[in-house]
Formats: sequence, C-alpha cells, structure tokens
Amino acid sequence: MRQLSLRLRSIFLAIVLLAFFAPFTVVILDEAYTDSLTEAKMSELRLMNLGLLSAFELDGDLPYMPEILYEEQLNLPGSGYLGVIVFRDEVIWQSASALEYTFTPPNIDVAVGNELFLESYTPTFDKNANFFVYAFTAEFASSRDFEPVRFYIFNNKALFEDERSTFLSTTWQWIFTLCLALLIFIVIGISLVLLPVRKLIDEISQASRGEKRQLSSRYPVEFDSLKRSINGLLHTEAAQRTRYKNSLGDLAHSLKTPLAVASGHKTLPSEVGEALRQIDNIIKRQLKRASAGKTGWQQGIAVQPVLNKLADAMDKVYQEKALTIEFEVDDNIQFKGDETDFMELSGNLLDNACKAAKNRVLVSAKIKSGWLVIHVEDDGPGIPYDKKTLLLERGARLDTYEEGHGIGMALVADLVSIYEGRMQIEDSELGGANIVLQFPNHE
Amino acid sequence: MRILVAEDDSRLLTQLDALLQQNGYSVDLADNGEHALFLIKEYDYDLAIVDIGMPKLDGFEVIRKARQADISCPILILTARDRWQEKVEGLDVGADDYLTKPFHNEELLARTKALIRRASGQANPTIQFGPISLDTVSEELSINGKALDLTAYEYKVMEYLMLNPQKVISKTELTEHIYDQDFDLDSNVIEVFVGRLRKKLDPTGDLKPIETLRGRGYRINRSL
Repeated sequence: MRQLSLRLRSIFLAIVLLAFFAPFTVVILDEAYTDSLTEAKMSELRLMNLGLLSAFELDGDLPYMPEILYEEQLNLPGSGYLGVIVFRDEVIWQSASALEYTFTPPNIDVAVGNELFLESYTPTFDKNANFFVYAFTAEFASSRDFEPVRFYIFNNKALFEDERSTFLSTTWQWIFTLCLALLIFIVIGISLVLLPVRKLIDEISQASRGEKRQLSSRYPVEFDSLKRSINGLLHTEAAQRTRYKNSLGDLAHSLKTPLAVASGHKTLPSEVGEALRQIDNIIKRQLKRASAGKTGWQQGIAVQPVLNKLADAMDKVYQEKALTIEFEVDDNIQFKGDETDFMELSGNLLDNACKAAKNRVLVSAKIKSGWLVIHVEDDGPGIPYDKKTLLLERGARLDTYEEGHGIGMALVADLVSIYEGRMQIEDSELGGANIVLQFPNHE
Repeated sequence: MRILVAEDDSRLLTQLDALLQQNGYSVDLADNGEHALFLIKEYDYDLAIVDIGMPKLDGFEVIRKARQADISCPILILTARDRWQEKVEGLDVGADDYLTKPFHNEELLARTKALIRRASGQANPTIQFGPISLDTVSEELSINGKALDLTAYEYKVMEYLMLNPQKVISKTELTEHIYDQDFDLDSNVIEVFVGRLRKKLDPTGDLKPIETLRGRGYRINRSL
C-alpha cells in the first residue's frame, strides 16, 4: 500500500492538534472569564450590601430605611438587583427595585458577622430565574437586646449569562479564524521545509537521466551526509562501469594476441583458420555486448565532437580515397548513453560508409518527436535488398556477413537494441546506402 | 624497405619478423615500448608497426613521443583493443592506420605496402616515371609495358629510389633500407645493383633512369 506523503502527514497531524487544542483553549478562556466575572459580581454585591447596612437603622424595635438609596439599581424596578432585610424572621424591608415580588424570608442562614455568596440560587419569589445572592448578618440593638438583622442582595443571572455567552461566541469565532490562519501557515511552512527535499529529488532524477554527474546544489546541513552518500554512489557506479569496460578490454587483449599468433601460423589448415576467425568474431561481439549498455545514470554526450574525432580518423585511414565527409548535425544534440558505445556505433557505420563510398559520406543527426535520428549515407554501390534483410536480422550468424558490412553491423544492431532504438537500411539520395538509427527518450 | 616491429608477445614478434622478411623487408624488432622508441628515433624507418599494449611504454606513448621528436615515418597500430575509442586515440596521437588482432597476413602486407607508398606521396599503387612503371602490389617493374626480370635486391633498390624521387639517396641509406641492421655494409654491392639495374632498364644508354650525383648518391631521373 502506498504510504502517505510527508506533506499530508504533517497537515493531518496539524489538523488533529488544532482540533484538540482549539476547544480546550475555549474552555480554559471561558472558565477564566467566568471566574473573574463572578469575583467582580461578588465585590459589587458586597458593596451594595454594605450600602444597605449603613443605611439601616433600628429605633427600639422599629426598623428605618431611607426612601431613596445611594445604590441606584436598588431604586429602579426591573434593574435585576433586589435588596431585602429580614428581622426576627420577617421581611421588614425590600428595595424599590423589588416591588413586583412578594418575599418570604430566604432560607439562607448566615451567622452574625459572616457573609455568604451564592453563585446560583433559585428563590421562592421567582422560581423561573436564577440569582446571585450575597447575604450578611449584623447585630443591632433592639428594645430587648442585640438582635441579628439579615441583609440580602439578589442579582438576576440572566444578564451575566448573556454576557458570558457573547464572550463565548466571540472567542469561538476568533479561535476558529486563528486555527484557519495557523493551518495555512503550517501548509506554507511545510512546503518551505520540504523545498530542499523536492530539490534533492529533482537533482537525483536529473542524475538518473544522466543530465548531472554529481549533486551540486546547496542543501540544509541535515542533508549533507545524504548528499555525500548519493554522490559517493554515483561516483562508485561510474568508476565501476569504467573498471568493467577496462577489464573487458584487457580480457580482449589477452585473448586476441594468442589468436593472432595462431592465425598467423604458416602451416595452419584453412578450416582451423576459419574456426579461429569465428572465435575472434564471437569474442569481439560478446565482449562489446557485455560492456555496452545504458544504466540510466549516464550523462548525455555531445554528438558533434565524437563525429569530428571519427571523421579525422577516417580522413587518415581513407586518405587515398580523398573522401568528403559532411555533417548536418543540429546544435547541441546529445546521445543519451555511453560515449564509447556511441563511438562504436558511429565508428562502425562511418567506417562501412567510407569503405563503400566513392567520394562522399554524409552524416546527419537531429531530434524528431523525442527521438534522436541519425543518418549515415554514402555514394557507394548501396546494399542489395536481400543483404539489407540479413543485416537487420538480429541473431544472424556472424560469419554470414560479408567483409566490410560484416561484424561491424552486427555490433551496431546489438547496440541499437540495447539502447531500445531502431535501425533501418534505406537507399540514399547520394546513390549508396542510408543507414538510419533512431533512439527514444531524447527530448 | 626497413620496418620496425614493436610487439611484446615474442611468438607474434617472431612470426611478424618471418612474414615481413619473406616479403622482402628488412625488419628491426622491439619487445617493449622504450626499445621501440629508441629505435624509431635512432633509425630512419619506412614503416613502424606498433602494438598498443606493451610494457614500459605503451604504443600510444611511443607514437606520441616519436611524433614529438619529428619522426615522420608512417606508423601502423597493431592492437587487440578493437574499440573505436582506442583506434581514434591511436590515429589522433599520430598513427596512420590501425590493424586489429587477429589479422590476416595478407591484410598486414597490403596495409604495409599502402602506408609506405602513401608516405612517399604516391596515392596510386603503380608509380610511373616516363616509360618506367613500378607496381608496388605485384612488385613488378616494367618498361614500356614490358616486365623486367629483377632479383629481390634489385627490385628493392629500384622501389626505394622510385618512392623517394625528390631526394638524393646515399649508398649508406640504400643499404640501410634494403638490408637487415646487422649486415656488414659494403657500398660496392649497391654499385653492382645500380649497375645491373641500369643495364636492364636502359641497355642502349639513352634513357639514363638513375642519376649518379658524385660523392652524394643516386636519384631517379624525374625528367624521363
């Protein structure tokens, strides 16, 4: 099963964390707000209660309260603040704000000199509402003795609850907006953090396509050892490939000198000579097949310089023929593969063309719909139809090839097949053969 | 014609020596690169056949150093490494042709002749001076289309003179190019060969194909 991407994992984790912390934060804020609001309410009610206490007088057994109180809320009906005084278990006074209610003494008992604050109280005078209550009991001198007088302040909680719920909904809105902003920042942040990873992946794929030999970009320090390891691998792979080719070259060398001695022997029967020739051809072909190949980690090589080198060589070897070797190669054309393989391919084709040509050899290379197309043409006698088929037949016996277009063509066919290319033999406008090679994946 | 053969495999070296000698060449042998470089700098060869994989100094280095020392004799690379990269490298450092091992003796001889002829500026295998014609492939000398019967040494003298028409060739040079290195030099022998050649080519004495430049040597008569 495919694993989740790092980006998705990080986003998923961020969402889970936010989903847990956002409500938690709201609850904590609500608690703190409610506590502080309640504390403030208690202070407010205490002050009001003290106001009652200071305004109250007892003349013998007759209580006295002024008409208008200093605390405005207690004078206004519907203010939500109610003041009540109880003496000898009877309500002896209620504030102007509480005129609509009929009080019985509240069943809240407070010892003399003590205060009591209740955050939630449903009184008998209004069973549908919930009140804060602040109660205080003080002793006053009556006709008998010092007697307790209880002072109560009731405050309807509806306003308080409204305030709290407004706070809650505002908090939720802000927290939600913050979470959204945080999530956007996290997504952008993750993209920024993953940028070097993306760059590294791009560079590795460039190296795998052969466009780079080493990883050369600068990376965060955490990637230094990874970069070193990958560069080490690339270097080892290239060195191994070279070593492998050299070993095969050495093997060819050590096999061929004894073969040369054997074939040069004067008394060698002709059938043995033929067998030796076959052995030589097999060694030649198999060693080249073994050392050839694209690894997918090779750089593209420029086509023109290789062709120039080969043309110089051909000029020397075929000096007497005074051939004109022409090129029609588009700028910056590259062969995606090994240089020795490309040299082997084009060397064999050019050599064959020079052998066959009377005066002219034309090599052209261009990129067409993602394919590298190479033509090697000459003005020689051309290749007859039956020979064309034979040359294109893969696995045809080497000794069936004629000298000239012989083993070279078999090797070309092998290399073309290794590079998943195509080979055609056509007639050239110059009059001779036109060998067409096509290689895929050349954008 | 004097040829240097540089090859580290003693069996192949012996074989090449025998093959070239049988075909009328004087042959010097070297079994390592350093010796080959010494010989090629020391003596004036008509051709050097150089193996690439040699001890002490590889063939590429021998050729590079020889060319740096202005040695202009044609060089044929003999190599077991038949990749184009190596062929191109060899030709690039100054070789004139290559032959991959194993090879047919006939092919080696054909390349040898072609290179020697090419070095003398003769593109055609048949060299012509007036009525005298030398076919370097069939090794036949003819005058007015009529083949002459020459001994091997007479042919060698005539071939060397005709391949080098631009220069005066001393008896010593002629001797060096047609005999093996250890031959006891006797200039009279060359005089005898030239005398015989003159009689065979020009019995009437009208043609004068070989000029004698007193105290300096011989030269082919280019105004034939």
